[in-house]
Amino acid sequence: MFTIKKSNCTYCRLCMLACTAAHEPGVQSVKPSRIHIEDDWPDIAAIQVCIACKDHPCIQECPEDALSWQGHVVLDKDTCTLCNACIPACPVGGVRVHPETGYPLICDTCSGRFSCVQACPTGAIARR
Amino acid sequence: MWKGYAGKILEVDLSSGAIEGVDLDPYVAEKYIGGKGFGIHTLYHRLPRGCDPLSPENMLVFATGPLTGSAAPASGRMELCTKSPATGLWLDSNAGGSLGPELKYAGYDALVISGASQTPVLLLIEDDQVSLVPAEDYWGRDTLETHKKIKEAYSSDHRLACIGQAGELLSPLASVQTEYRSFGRGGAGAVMGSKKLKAVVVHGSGGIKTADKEEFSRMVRESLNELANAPDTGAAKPEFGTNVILSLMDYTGIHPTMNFHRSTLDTKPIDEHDVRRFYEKNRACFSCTIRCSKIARVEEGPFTGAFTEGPEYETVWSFGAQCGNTDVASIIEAEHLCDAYGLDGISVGNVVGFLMDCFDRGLLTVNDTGGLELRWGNGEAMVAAVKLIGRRDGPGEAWSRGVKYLEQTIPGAHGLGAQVKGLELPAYDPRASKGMALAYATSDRGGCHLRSWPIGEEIMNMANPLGLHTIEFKPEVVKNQQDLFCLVNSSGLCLFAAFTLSLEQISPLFASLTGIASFSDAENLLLAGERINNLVRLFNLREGLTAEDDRLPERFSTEPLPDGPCQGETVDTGAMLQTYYKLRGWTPGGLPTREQLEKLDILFES
Repeated sequence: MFTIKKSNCTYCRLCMLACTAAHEPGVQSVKPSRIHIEDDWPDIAAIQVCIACKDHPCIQECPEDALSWQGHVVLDKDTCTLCNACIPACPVGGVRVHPETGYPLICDTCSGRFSCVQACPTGAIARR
Repeated sequence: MWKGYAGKILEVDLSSGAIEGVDLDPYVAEKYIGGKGFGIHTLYHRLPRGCDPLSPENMLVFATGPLTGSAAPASGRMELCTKSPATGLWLDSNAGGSLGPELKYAGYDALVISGASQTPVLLLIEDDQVSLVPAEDYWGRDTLETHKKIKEAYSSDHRLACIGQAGELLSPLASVQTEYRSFGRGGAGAVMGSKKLKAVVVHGSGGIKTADKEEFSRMVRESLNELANAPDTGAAKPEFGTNVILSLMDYTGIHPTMNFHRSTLDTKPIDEHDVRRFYEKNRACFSCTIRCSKIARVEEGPFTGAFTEGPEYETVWSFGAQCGNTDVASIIEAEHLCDAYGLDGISVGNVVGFLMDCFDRGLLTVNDTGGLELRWGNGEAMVAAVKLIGRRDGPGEAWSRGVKYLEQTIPGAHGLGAQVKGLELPAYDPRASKGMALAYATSDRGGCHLRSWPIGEEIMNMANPLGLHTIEFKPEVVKNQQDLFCLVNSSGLCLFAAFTLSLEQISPLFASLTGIASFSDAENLLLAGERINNLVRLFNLREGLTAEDDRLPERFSTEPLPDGPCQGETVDTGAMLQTYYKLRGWTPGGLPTREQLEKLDILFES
């Protein structure tokens, strides 16, 4: 799904702002972002986002079958019990938590628009 | 329901421990915008006249602007306002990084700190959970360690501003460091130290609402395109950082050397390519495509292992040309030490250059310097001097009081200092740039290049450059830039973005984000900048400033530049100053007139 080049990342967080804006129009924030830049100044520790891995451990670990694969991971909010089992299941830290609702946040590719990729000024995150 | 703004101010009294969230006054938001405007509105109305900057009476205002934390480009900035222990006058310092956006996401536009704690504390803000936490474990640690330990104790997404040893020891050169960037100038770190406030730690989980999301997104895209396509913000600063102007300043004779006695060095001066060799990678402030910040690392020689987020143009000058030094590695080490101790790199480098000047003249000997051979260009002695200043150790105690103090106390040194109102000058010779001379003389916080930067209009405005040595239109440029920069420093935007974007491009960002209709009028925003400037002037006059203080050291009118492209130049700001006062609507004595204050809606509210 993504090609990640951590050494290009400047920690500007434009990807996180773009992700939030794409999913919650009109909200200026990085907090409900599905992509996360983990800082370890002066380095970037990790760019954490769903990489659409083959095994989908988040889907496997969900006890309620609230997650499914439909080209990207899809959450059924009505089934989700906010148990958070999907979060540690992800090997790359690609499952975030919405700070207000508590629902898991997983990249949905912005319906193929990849807002984060469009926002990145340095090519730290690109489409594969 | 606030848009753009969070709508709350957090008030913390460190003496009583009282913590209160207060509603933002819509009148203050519209007239004073945020940032510096909020700072002066608070301090003008609440700070007792003549208060000791290091007493519990002084206050610290950390203030964001309406754009802080939004997707507007280069909008991650915030202001720290207080009464300066270096000048006894107004101080505002601006820093990027991440703290401002985090404070907005926690639900506050500004944080107002008053009183003083008896014992070291952290102020911990996690949304509406605000507390004072004992900080004995952090006291005595440098700012890099403090950042690391606090992030280990809370989370990597907690943002902080803290002081190092220099602030704890109440040095007027002390900075406040935030996420490896600096509220550098004027000694705000000592004010934090006097309050026993080691750090402000913030974590927020919310966001900012947008009034007109389509229009705001459109204007964000337009300004991003503008920044990407402009030579400065799209190519020069991403490549070289702030050092990009080094060779231009040398070529034009603006770059002072050896404590402002010359404008050339006997060896090849450091240029942007010399500094770039040390760059390892780029860093950006929040929401910024310019990425002017660099991580530089030294890989050989006596300073192997030294690294810094920088070094910035100003410190490359202050620890370079100002000290007759061309060893970039020693500059990186000196800047690293300034960041670690929590010191202002401009002032500290200016002090060391001043000491080398005294040493060269025999006014100081190794008996006065703790054994340091403070000869021009001695990078190792320079680095050792920074350590003494940071720890206020031995002769470093006096050195940490700044150039104004030293020229009064070192016999024979009177008149050798390069400072205005007690704040050391930065990297531009006022004899070379007549606009800069007026900018320094009228700067509200003393010797500073960030209240206005007329060099842009003098030599970088390709359509109609004003030239360096004429005085025509310089007062107009300085006055207009001061008003614009006041606005920008109240908005959350970075000055570097505002150098490229026009106010006509910036004002729709304000209006569409906040929904405040009057913000769509660029002239009205500029008027807010002028209002803020005038209220700061009233603050400074109340603290005892007179027109006599709006001047440069005498040496710049009597000591011609001996070399370089501006050889023979001196400067007299007298005529420019009177024109400037007139343009400002001030009397020949520099006092705002009643008519002018009424025009700016200042009298009506006080």
